Amino acid sequence: MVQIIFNYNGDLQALKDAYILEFGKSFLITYSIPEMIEGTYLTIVKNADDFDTYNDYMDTNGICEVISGWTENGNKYAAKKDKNKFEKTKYKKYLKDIQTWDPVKEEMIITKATGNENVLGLSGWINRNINL
Amino acid sequence: MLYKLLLKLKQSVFLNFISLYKNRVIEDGGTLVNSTTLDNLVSTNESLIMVPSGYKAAKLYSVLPEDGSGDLTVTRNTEATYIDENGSIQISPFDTPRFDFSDNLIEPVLLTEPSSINLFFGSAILLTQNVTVTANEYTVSFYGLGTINFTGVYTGSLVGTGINDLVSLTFTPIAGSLICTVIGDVTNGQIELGDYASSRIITLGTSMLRAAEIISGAGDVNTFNTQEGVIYLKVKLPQTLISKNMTINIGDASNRITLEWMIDGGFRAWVRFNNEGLYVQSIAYDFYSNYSEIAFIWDNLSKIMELYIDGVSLGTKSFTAEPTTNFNDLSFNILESYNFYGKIKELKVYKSILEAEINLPYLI
Repeated sequence: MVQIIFNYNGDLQALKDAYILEFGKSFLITYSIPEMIEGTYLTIVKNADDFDTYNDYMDTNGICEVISGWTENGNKYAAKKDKNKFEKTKYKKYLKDIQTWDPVKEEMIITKATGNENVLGLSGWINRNINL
Repeated sequence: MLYKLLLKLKQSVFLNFISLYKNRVIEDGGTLVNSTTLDNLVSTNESLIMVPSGYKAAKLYSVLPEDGSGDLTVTRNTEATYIDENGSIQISPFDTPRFDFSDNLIEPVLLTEPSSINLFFGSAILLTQNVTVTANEYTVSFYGLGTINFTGVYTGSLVGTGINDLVSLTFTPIAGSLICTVIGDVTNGQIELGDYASSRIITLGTSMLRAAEIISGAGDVNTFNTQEGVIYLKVKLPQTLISKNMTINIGDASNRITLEWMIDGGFRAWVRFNNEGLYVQSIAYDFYSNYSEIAFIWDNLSKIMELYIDGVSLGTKSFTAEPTTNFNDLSFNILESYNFYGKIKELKVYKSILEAEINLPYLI
């Protein structure tokens, strides 16, 4: 299994509905990533290549940018296409600012993400390797 | 006297089925869990029986058929947790069915849940933190005697009642930052979308996802009788509202028997032959407070269906269509969608209505 993190700038729900009508089967199951900007999702596929078909379908009605994929042991998957390879700058681009409540000062502290922050984990999967 | 003798003989025959089942699970490398429901089974009238008692990775064993063709396939792309017979939280590996004891510590039930994300970090021993939320319904839950005070986009508090008590609070904040100030011991904290507290999702430094279970693929053409039969289910739902219709199906898309729980709280039981579907419906039924017994009859000879819940008929309906394929599958979904999520104590299928009436006399 491989988990893929991607950003899609189209209407994903509309795309899913259209996909079922067209192909008679469900589209990928996707999860919004709380720590990343809107439109950034996580999905799990059996083989990394399985995602390419869905990627092409998304590109027909928007732009899908693959941030990268990781296996259950946290290793980056061997992306065939250069555009799907992990790059820290690409990953960082989609991270939200970090808000931390300071209980002493009773105020919210907002800091820019550095790119070293891991996001939404999968229970039982090893943390993603997000180093280059 | 003769009746008692026959009953005893029948019980002893069936005990052999239970022994065969247990042997099959062990020889297949599976795990057996003590179940009084299993040990008290006295019938062989069913063509399929699933009592939560035997499992291994990707497999949920059925007691009948003996050859294992009624075993169900389980997939779940993450670990998940359940409550064991000692009341402790345990981790279930990928693709492994969960037999949960959270209702009581005596009898396991099959637990299937949708995906969920715990937005708290460091859930084991919760510390004060903020969570970014949207304007949707959330449920916060935890064990312990501590308190969480909420400020920011929602004001309120949740007070713990004991180290082994799960407390929960459901609310809808406005979008933004929810500040959760923790006082005292708050353990296994969870904040998730939805109107109920699901099983524990253990987090460390980030939010954490538990994937949904998908259970499918029991039986073949020998397990089911398309012309007549009964499906029986002992079931409970953990939530008062569901986000998407849920189904348990025998058959395929065009020809099937379907039990369907709907978003509006209603429940329907369908006969769908040759793509023509008709159903008996309950406007609203409380599947949440207690375990309910559903029995649904289809009779293609008399062209009639009948739905019973908790021993009471909810009505009959006539139909005219003829099946174009024979049933060969039982799944907790249809076309890989509308997955069933809830708790199941027993699932039985009968190929003969007469045989079902022996075990379920209220059907007569």
